[in-house]
Amino acid sequence: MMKREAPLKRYLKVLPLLGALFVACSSPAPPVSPVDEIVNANIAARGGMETIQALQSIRATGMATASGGRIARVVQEIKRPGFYRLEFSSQGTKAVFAHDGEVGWHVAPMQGVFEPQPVTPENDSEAGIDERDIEGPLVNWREKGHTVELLGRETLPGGEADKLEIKLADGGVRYDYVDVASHQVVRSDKAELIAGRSLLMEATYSDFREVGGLFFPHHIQTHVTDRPETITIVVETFELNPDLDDARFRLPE
Amino acid sequence: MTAREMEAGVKQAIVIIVLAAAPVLADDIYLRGGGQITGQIVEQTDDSVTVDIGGGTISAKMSSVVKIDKNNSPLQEYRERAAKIPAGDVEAWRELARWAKGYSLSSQAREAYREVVAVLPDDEEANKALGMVQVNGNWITEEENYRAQGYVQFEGKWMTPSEQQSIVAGRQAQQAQAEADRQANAAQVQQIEAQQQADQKRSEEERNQLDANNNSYYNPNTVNWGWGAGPGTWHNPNQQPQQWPQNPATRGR
Repeated sequence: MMKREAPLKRYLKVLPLLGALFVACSSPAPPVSPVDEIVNANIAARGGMETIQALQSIRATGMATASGGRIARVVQEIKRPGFYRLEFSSQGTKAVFAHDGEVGWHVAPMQGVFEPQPVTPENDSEAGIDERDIEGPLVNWREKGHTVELLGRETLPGGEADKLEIKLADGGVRYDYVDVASHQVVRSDKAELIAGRSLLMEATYSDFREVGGLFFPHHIQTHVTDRPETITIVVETFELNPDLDDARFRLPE
Repeated sequence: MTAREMEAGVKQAIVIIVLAAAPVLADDIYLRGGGQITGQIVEQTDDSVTVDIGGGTISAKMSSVVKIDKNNSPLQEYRERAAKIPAGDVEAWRELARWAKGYSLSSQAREAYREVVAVLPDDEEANKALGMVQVNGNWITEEENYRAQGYVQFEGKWMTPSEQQSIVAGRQAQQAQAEADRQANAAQVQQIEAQQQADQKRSEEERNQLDANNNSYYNPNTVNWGWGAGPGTWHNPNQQPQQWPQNPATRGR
């Protein structure tokens, strides 16, 4: 049989807990850092954390154009956790560039690659950890092992934007520009090692529209910093949570 | 037959861009991993299939082909429709050009827009689709525009003169450093030379591989894709295949 404690002794035991509760309730909330303020505003502008985290897969379909009258139909698919696939159809051929979280691979008839094979830096761009992240790298960036630092405010053609440096867990570095007015990421710069030289790829995002409670840019323009040639992607449709078999992303055996 | 030709002959798949031959069939050729070639088969043997894709022909080993579906390809439909357009019917050509764009048939869209410009030299839609830029009321090529803005073309890419100088200076510095290292430490000369020979051999093999695949050095078909994983080269309908360099030294991205 358990021995009953004296009432006073029981009260004395609870007292420290009550004290701690009082201190916790009366202390001011820890200050939110400028980085967290910007990131939180961005997440809210995109549709909110709950809606973003409910997204399991996405398919974006559109047209890409480039200098010389080049046209391609593009279908980009991203699925948790870290699956990526791009279908690139141009001039009677369809190429596939995919990543299953471990291996990036491609099959690209116009480049003479008729059998699926791993991507090497000498041929095509591989999807980085940030590009395979359906939420984007800013969502729960600490848990993902990234670091984010506010570098300052810059004036872009569309207005002022806060420049964030994101050091990615895979070693990559990108710079996201969060528009001060809309809180959307309107530009991302990412250093890529191409032919032994580090070049900064700039992607500019515009024409944000709501799809299923989330906001997506429908116009993307990319180019290498200080180079005039651009690639423009106009996204016609975003499908949320399409059923995508994992096998679509894996290197075929 | 040269060694290079012999090597190219044993590649599993070879891309050859040549003038289109007379079509025989219209087909979809499916490759493992989701790759696809759509066009008109001009030759099929037990070992390979050659398809007219409207911007030349492309050949794949049958061992890479999963299946072939007999279809009316967009290319075939384009040719049938183009053959029926009365001379000088600008709007019919415009409509056909837009239709071809929808199927990402860059070469055919270009061909149709050229018919529009032949009658309406200042047509904005057609000129823009052909990659022309309006400057002071005159339509000029993108290349002329880049040059007028002070850019220079270096290894197939347009860039600022300072970037070109930086690339050249960087290479010269690398060479100078290698030479200095070689002279400073005679004991390591043999090892360095062996390494250089190995690097040179590997580099040559990579060049041959890319050459055989797509002649992707130094040519304007190389692109810097900036939307996740994507292609390193993208066929430019402006470029004539015979203008592609045959023996480049370094990659032109």
